[in-house]
Amino acid sequence: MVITPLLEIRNLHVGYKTHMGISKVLNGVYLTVNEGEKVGVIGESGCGKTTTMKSIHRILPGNAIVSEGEIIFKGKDILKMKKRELTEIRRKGVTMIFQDPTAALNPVFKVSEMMTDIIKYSGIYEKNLKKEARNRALDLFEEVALSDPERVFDSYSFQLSGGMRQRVCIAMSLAGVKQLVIADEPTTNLDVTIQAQVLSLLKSLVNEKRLSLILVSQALGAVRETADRVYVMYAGDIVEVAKADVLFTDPLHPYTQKLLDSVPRLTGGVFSIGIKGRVPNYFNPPSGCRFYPRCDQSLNICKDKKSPLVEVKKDHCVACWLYRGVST
Amino acid sequence: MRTIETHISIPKWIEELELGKKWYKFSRSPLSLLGLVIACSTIILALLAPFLAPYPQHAGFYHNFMESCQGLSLKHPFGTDQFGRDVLSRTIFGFRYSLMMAGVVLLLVVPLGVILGLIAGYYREKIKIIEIVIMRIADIFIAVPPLVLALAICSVLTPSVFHAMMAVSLMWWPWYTRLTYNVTSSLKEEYFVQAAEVTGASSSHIIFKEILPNCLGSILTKVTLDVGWIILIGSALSFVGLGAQPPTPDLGTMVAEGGNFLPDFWWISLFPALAISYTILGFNLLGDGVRDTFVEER
Amino acid sequence: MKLSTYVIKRAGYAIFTLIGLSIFVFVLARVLPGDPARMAAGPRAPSWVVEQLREQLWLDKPIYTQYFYWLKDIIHGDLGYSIYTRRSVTQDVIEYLPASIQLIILAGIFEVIGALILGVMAGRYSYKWPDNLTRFISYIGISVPAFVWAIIFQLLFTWVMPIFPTSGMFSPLMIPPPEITGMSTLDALITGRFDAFVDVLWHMVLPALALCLGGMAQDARIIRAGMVENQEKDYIAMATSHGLPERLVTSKYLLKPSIVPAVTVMGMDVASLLGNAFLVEIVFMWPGFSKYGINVMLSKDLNAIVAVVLIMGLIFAIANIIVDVIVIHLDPRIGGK
Ligand SMILES: Nc1ncnc2c1ncn2[C@@H]1O[C@H](COP(=O)(O)OP(=O)(O)O)[C@@H](O)[C@H]1O
Ligand code: SF4
Ligand SMILES: [Mg+2]
Repeated sequence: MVITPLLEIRNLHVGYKTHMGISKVLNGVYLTVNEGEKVGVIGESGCGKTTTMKSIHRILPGNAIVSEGEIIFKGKDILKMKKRELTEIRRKGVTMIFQDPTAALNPVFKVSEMMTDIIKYSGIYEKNLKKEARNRALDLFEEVALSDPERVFDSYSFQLSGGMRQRVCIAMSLAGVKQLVIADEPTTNLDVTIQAQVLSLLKSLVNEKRLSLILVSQALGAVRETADRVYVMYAGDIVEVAKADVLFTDPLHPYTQKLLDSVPRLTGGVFSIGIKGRVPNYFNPPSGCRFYPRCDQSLNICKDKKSPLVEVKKDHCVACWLYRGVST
Repeated sequence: MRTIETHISIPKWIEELELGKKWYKFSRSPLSLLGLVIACSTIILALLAPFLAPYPQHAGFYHNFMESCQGLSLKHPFGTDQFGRDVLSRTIFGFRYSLMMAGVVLLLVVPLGVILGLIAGYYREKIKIIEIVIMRIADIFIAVPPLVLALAICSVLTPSVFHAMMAVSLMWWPWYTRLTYNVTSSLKEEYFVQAAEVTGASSSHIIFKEILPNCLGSILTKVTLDVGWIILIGSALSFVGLGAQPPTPDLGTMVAEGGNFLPDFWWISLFPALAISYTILGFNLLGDGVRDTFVEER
Repeated sequence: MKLSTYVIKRAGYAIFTLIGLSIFVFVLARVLPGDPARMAAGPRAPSWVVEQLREQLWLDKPIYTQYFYWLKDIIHGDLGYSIYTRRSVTQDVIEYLPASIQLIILAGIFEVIGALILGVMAGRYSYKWPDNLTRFISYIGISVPAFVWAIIFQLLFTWVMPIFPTSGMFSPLMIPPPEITGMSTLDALITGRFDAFVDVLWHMVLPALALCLGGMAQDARIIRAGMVENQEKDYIAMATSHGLPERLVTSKYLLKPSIVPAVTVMGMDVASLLGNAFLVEIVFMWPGFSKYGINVMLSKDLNAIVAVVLIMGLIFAIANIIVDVIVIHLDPRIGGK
């Protein structure tokens, strides 16, 4: 039996127009999510994770240019959809939880305003009564374990704590019937103490409702626990894909190896220094492998030619010349 | 005898302004460049008025009723007024009064306002009373629309260009005090100022070497934008007869005088009015350009 | 902080500032060259009248005593005697102020509506033709002074297309409504005189436009900048990502945060309306307080000048408090500070 994936991103290229030229950020991204699957995406900040996620909803900033690629959701290309179809997807198909809940909540409206509108347009209610929306909102707030839902409902976002804000955002995302949840670093901007709480809440809700999940995160431990498969992203490229346990025990791509090394190990007790160098500038990116300037295992070919993403072991894909039998 | 050092070192803070880079940023906007061109052209007209005006003697007391209220012609491209004076010549001289007004007011107001603002901001915590006195007095002059108080002051004094300048200056300094006060009090929290304090730098060093350079962008922007506003207020004062008095070729006065001859002799007030708008437009465009160049976004 | 506490605090502060202002104008009016008693009595009055007046006005007392007497009178609603109208300044204020206030309110309404339309159009279609058009209009609006607008309108509507009246408050044959509030529009409405109401409105259109165009241009640009900046905010992306209709996102979630900066500078707009009224009322022969103000200034009527300045300060202070309350209402974060 062939499983048709729920979401499939193929060869996505996205750039940003700026006054210094075009910054070519996404360089052919591939990503697949199957029905009911939980996928993790990891990578340094600035490597294009948010850009990829926003492309799925077509909510990229005004200066973004999608120059190539397809985003297939249930057999249809989101990038080619008409407004109406796209709105349907946003309401009933895919939902997104933003990296920074403070920025994602409108500062001059009460939670109740936004919540009511979202519920109204979530497609559950035929005719919307204000009271019905309120009750539904309060139910949702209880689902996301917000204490004192009434107070939260009548608050402005600046009156809530960071953790509460993110719970509100999660509640908003779950207002309608959805199939895929995209969580873009949902805990990065929260206090360390509540990161775990919010993450486990998200996980249990996703499990309970049998949703698919894309979890973007810098917290590698969380990804390892949550995700079935993990994508490693570097400078606008997917450089490695594998089952979570395989990836974390047997990383193949030099970037993944460094990334995992750079995490302070509880056992080692020694702080590692992180990866030397930084994400390349996107105005004039390296023409071959984008990791080449920072890679200490590089080959001659790496400089001029980018390796495609190929399956080198079962269910384990890497985009690196080291695994293509190329000799120095 | 020691040799005199010929090497002139550019002060560090001037280097830090990165003027070359700033100019590049500024020159990329056509509107800013247009503003610069207009502003420079008004300054040149004002400075060289006696040489550029076809009939410089028409700027003051002069009459030739044979030629009064003549329409546009090659001889008088902007026509002539009720005394037979060349409107073009008087308009060119008019730039002098408008720009002089702005120049004198800013020259008085900027140093005074900025220093008071720096002091009030710097001693905000240390000597509270200084801050209170300065800022409350500033508030008094901001409490009335500037044109109203300027009109009142001018009327109590005898109306003249000089008194108009004094009145507008009196209205204007608090805005610079407020601006520098706000910047200073927020900068006080910044590390480099705190660092300077910890290392025992003197107050004047901190105020003038650390804080002032950081206010310059905002001040420069405000100065450029204010040229337009001051010209507006100055011409408004003259327009109602409480500023420059006839026969001074002040643009506002000319518009008001010509107003009596509308609509038949429309050119008498139209061209001075256009000259006012031209100047204000130029300095506004320039000011926007300066702001985009010097004031950091976010 | 509760809103009422805030308003009371602001009001107290405004009174404090106005007292400071009154000291300034009082001293200015007294210490300047010229004899106020002689000025009040008129140049041809015999000297014993002048001396009597001097005593009446406490001009023989030290200046701080004079001030306190004067302040006491003001608190009792007595603004002194006007040598221009030859009656009490308080009476003048009651007669002329309402006409100016209704003009300024109409100008304010024009300004807000115009700025919203232009600013939202420009922000919504940024870098397209509506944006460029708005930018062009804004630059004209900013660089043409109110009194020049007034003259242009006079020319245009007297001689080219006389659709709006260019002077006065009523048409020649119109019988004014009886005075109740002093605002002719309100009086006309109260007494059911719709013909008079329309007539006054008709007369107010041009002066109100001349008053507000400058401020409108500036506000439109501020609103435009707010919209362009906020369009990129995550909260707009999030509202869109939940599938809310585009119209709702723009007209609600984008518009409200974007107009806050424009509203915060509206105090300055009020200042420019009040100031410009001094010029515009003269050109349009509007029988208002600003025209009165210019006349008393030109005739050096000190009591009246001081009253004009203080009343302008008072109106300005009230307007600023109202603006602040609106801002807090629109953006509650600001009230927290
Ligand atoms: N609106 C924008 N204009 C220009 N560059 C942008 C814009 N948004 C993001 N970028 C750039 O795109 C790159 C990827 O950003 P992002 O997708 O946010 O990365 P991540 O989410 O992995 O941290 C960064 O270098 C960032 O500076
Ligand atoms: S392709 Fe070459 S440069 Fe890139 S990661 Fe592999 S070895 Fe390093
Ligand atoms: Mg991100």
